[in-house]
Amino acid sequence: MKRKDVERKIYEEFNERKPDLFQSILEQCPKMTEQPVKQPVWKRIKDVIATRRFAYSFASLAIVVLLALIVVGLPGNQPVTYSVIAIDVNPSVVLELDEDDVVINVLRNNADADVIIGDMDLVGVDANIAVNALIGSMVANGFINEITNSVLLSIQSSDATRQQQMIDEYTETISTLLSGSAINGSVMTQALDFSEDAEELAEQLDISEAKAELILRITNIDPRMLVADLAKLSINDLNLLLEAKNYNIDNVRHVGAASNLGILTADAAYQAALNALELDALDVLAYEVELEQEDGVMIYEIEIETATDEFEILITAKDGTIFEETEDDDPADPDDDPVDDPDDDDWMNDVLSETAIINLVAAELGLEVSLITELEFDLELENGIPFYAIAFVYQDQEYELEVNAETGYIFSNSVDEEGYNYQDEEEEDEEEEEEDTEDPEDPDDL
Amino acid sequence: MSSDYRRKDLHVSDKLMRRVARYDAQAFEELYNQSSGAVFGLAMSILGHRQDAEDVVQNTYISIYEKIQDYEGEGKAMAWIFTIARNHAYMILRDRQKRQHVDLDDVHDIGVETTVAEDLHKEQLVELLLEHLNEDERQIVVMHAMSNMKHKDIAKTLDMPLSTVLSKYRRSLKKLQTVMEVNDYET
Repeated sequence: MKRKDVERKIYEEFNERKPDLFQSILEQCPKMTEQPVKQPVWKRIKDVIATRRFAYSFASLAIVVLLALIVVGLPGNQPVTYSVIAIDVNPSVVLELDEDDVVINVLRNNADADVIIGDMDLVGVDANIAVNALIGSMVANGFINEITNSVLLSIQSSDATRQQQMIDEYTETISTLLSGSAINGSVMTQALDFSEDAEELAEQLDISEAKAELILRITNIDPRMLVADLAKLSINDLNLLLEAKNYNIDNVRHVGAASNLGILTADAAYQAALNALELDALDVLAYEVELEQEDGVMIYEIEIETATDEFEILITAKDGTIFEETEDDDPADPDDDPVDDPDDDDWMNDVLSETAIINLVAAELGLEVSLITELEFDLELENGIPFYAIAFVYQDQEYELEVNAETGYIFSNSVDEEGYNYQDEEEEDEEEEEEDTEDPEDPDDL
Repeated sequence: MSSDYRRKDLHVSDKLMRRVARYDAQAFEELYNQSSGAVFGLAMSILGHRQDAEDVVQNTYISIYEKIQDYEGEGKAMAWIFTIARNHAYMILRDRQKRQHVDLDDVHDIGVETTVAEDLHKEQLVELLLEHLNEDERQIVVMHAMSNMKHKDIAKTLDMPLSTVLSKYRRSLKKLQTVMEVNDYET
């Protein structure tokens, strides 16, 4: 029995035996009231107000008043939104559905949405047919292909069980559609909350609410990431980033792998780094290549060690050029806090020691510190947050973690079984075996 | 592992707490469903008595309702809830001790003294916890197992040094591993 099993047993047993007292508690909380999950009509009015064309104009005021009069004057005639399906590739479309999964409203979030919808009238159509039509049009118009194969599917339903069913069903529908078009697609899924924060962010950065919710979830897990940077990434880039980091994010999952055909391979990036640094591969003692994002651009962060020097270089993932970080701050502004200046050692004052960090990490992951081998630490600073990049081997398993150096909070863990892109060793072995058997010319098979 | 045990499921978000603060009954129910097992577990680990633990659960959620506007966020919802639950549990413990004292004075014969272990109602796991761990150890293990609370936050809640919490946690889990294996607990 492992430690995790002990904790699981405790968790299960107390949850099974917990008392069912909610109704009697609720009776003693008179201010608690049932609140509607969503107000589709109001939201529709708000969407109209939010468009630049109508904002600050008398016309918008007139339309709002007219819509409000229609709503007030015709109670009960408005179809109620029961579920919402948001599809983001770059075109961003929201389908509002009634209780029978029939489309009652279509929201186009950007100009690309106009392109793919064109003259199609999806209102009154079954949601499954509408999703088929939208994905088909995205493929036909070249928005989804082998290079950008990721679809963000976000769903909200008044019924939580139905919500999960819909996520499963439409993931399957989209995957099947893409494979029917000879595209190895990747469908990222999330439960949509329509949070106020996401609405604000969507408006501020001119992105869809679904993308805003995904970005907020990422920055909640890893505050080193900035929302403005993530907003610049395409859905496929976000998918690649989540895979590279193996983040463990609530309600965000994916099927299929994000396409990396639009970026260099790690090997090609390493070669580009060697060329840029004018190094000979034979002089390299060790190197490490990691896919990251910097200022909203996908980059490879490459560290190279030779007998005499250590190098770190950022290579733009799309074209192999050296990435130069943008300097937004005015160097003359005394109010600017040089948070990422590695020469300024102030940030190191609150950093926990390597021993303290590994003890915290081991406790968090249920590992025996004494069994950890090949332990390596690298202390870095990202957007003002100090963190340790930690690598070690534990019971024949390689771990790579990024950990807040002040608190011990684990940002990412390559061996997190609940992570976005976790593959255990057995699965990896199986895949390798499959690859081996598929390649008759593989010298290992001979 | 066949269970649906997921660390991510144990987290109570500030967003949910904000909805509770707007007196959204549905959010309050979500909070109850997510966290009442943890509150119940903590109360049982302090009191070892089901009825008393249920009282703690009831009182805790009423206190949450009354004090939700004071919750300041920062992602520490479970630490806040555990603090409220511990206060209620210790109030009951103090009342219980007072009652026992009065009984002794007035009746001179309290019969079978109510002990934690005798009120278990055959709850085997609780029995193991009570038998093999002391109160601090039980609270640390239950807080971490039920809510995935950081050891640092547990240390703050229990007003203990982090190193003490870490060593107690490790020692406790090792003890439980051994006794659960001996008691043939299935994984």
